[in-house]
Amino acid sequence: MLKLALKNLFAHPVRTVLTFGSLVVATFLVCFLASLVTALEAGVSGNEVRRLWTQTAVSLFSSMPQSYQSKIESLPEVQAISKFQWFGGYYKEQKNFFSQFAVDPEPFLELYPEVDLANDANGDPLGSFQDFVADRRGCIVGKAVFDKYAEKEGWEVGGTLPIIGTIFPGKDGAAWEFVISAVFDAEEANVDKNNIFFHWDYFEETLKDVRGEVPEVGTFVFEPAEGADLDAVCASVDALFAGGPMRTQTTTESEFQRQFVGMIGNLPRFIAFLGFGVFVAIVLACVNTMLMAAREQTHDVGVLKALGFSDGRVFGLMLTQGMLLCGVGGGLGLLIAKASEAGFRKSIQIYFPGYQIANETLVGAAIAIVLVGLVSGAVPAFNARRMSPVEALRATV
Amino acid sequence: MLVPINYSFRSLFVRRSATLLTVFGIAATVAVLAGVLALQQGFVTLFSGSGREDVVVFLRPGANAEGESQFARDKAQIVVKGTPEIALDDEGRPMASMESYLAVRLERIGGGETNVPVRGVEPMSYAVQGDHVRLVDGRWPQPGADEVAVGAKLVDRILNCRMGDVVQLNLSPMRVVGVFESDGPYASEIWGDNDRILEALERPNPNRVIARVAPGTDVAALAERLKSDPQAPAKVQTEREYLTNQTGALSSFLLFLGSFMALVMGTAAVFTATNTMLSAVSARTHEIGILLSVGYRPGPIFLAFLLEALVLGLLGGVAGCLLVLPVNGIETGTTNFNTFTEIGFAFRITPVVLTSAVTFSLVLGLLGGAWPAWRASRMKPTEALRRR
Repeated sequence: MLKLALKNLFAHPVRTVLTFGSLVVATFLVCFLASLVTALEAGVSGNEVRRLWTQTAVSLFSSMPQSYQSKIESLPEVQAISKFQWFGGYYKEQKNFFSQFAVDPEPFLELYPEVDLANDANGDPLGSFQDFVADRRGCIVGKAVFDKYAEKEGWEVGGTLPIIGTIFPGKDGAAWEFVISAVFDAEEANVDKNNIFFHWDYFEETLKDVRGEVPEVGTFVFEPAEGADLDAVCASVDALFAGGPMRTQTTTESEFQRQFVGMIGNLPRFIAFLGFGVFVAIVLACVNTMLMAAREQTHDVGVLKALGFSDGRVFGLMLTQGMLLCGVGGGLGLLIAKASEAGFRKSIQIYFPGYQIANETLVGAAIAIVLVGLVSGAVPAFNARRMSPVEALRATV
Repeated sequence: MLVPINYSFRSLFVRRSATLLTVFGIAATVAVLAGVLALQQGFVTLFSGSGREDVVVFLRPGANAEGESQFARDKAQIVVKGTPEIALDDEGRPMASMESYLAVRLERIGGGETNVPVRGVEPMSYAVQGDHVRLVDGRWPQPGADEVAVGAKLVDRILNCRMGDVVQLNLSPMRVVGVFESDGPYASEIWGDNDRILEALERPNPNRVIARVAPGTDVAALAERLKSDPQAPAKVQTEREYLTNQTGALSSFLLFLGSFMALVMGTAAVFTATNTMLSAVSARTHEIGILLSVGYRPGPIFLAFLLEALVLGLLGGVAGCLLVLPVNGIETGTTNFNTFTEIGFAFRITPVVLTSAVTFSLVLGLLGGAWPAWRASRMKPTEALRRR
């Protein structure tokens, strides 16, 4: 039976290959789009992190006075705390954009145990975190951004890294000069490997020198004591600043990421809608091919029935053809999607840093393929089943 | 001699179920492309289509957006006083104002937070904008008062943005006293008195200076002069230039998404079209034999089948355009990646969208039809006639 199905499929090899091709392409596209949506929501479903973030409740772009730090530290539940400020610079040209943050190095490393030292191709560590803590101009560079520019621009550990500040221009508009102390990597998706972290002290000193200004703090990241009630800690931090000058909003890191994704608005919905359009188009294409193939097999179906094949077996034969085509084509599409994952992650990381084909996506797509196979096999199969052998034999295509 | 055009049309009609399914396949592809393009067009026209050529924006050198820019008051005064190109109003005052800008976290109606641009303006700001910003309800905020006017696109989207509501900015409650309309992104902003907004949001400095320039001003020369001004250097752009520059990231993302989808789905659609045409050719082998034996040359037969494929593509293109037409004008809101604020805009099915969609569908038909048509024209009359 399987043999017969295969023979039938390859009666018109070109056509089968073409259908097969569109299935591969469409499956790949559905996976790709689904992964974009997943990437937009990455971190949302990530493992809950106990770290708390205090930011202003007013705007993502406003900051708090440094004096907030000692008030937060005065709460008994608060342990390690680091200041964060978004630097918003770029390397050489504006298109070389990635995120840089000023942080307090020691508490930062303590707060982010998942930040690991990266290794080079030989397995040797790239720099050291001690160097980062010791060197005021030191910075640690995410592996993704380091790999990108190590090839193109020759970045290396120990080398100087000039960054042009858009919000905080250097002296006379010149670039800020950092030293690459180490390269970091992380297993978890919640640490972005496109970021760069550098010393708060260097940031503050330079800013005082250039503008005579003390920098404000974008985010305070801290860890509550073991066993502390997170909601209660958040509430007591925010209560400290309810009277201003800047109201604050303290949340867990995961909760903030959820809010942040919510702010992107309906882009994920829009992409999901496109994915659905693609899916409809595949179903149509497959049903079309199967119908065309079935019509040409009308005569063959007559022969089979005249030979004594039961209606059920003829039905099964047609269904098998549909399933075979979809199963193999779709499977290949899934493989391509998975194989191209790394390449895409590199090329679209500015927009979708967490691009990754999740297992759920693969399973979902596989189920969809089987459904398409069932539909595109069943429609002609029903027709074939109903046909009387005499009519089928008489039919001219 | 050419094969009658009717032949191509009729054969599409005879095989209508296959034709219909193929047309739908192409239509879906075209509709996806057109939908993404319509979104991109709506977004871009909102910005670049609305900026004024006679209004210039002064930013801190090096800043690319208002959010990054800071303009201290004394520097702003120097710029306004020291720039003779700025137009004067009826009372002889320079038509220029300082504005502050911050994306503020506010709650959406229906839950969730989003980033709404809040702009501190001076009374002269309204004159600078002229009829590009129109009050549709109530009045403008009084200078020095805790009052705001909201853009019309916010009224139904953001909590507490109806007339008479009170919207909280940091610690200051601000009363909504007016609603204004604009063809540009301003319609998604909240406007209040500059001094009060700066104070409420704890901002030290305004973000930009905006001014109307006298007719015939050479903005490029002005920009060149102020770039290296020793006292108050500034980056000068026309408002249109400035707004166009704010669309780069989202626009290129949408174009990338659109062309990528078109490429991949187009490949699948070409495969389907080729399939349909191959099946059409093989079903009509006998007919082709007759055509050849009555003296039609392979060339015209090739053209007849190619025409059939082109019509198939065109039908798909038209159907695809019809499918997306209903989205025209639908209001949506998406975050502008450049400013990270939510901007309300509508899908726009512009002529550009329609032409690209139809051209694309014809290309699909052409690519899908070429090979089957070539196969049809290469048949040997005797063999073709022998087939049933």
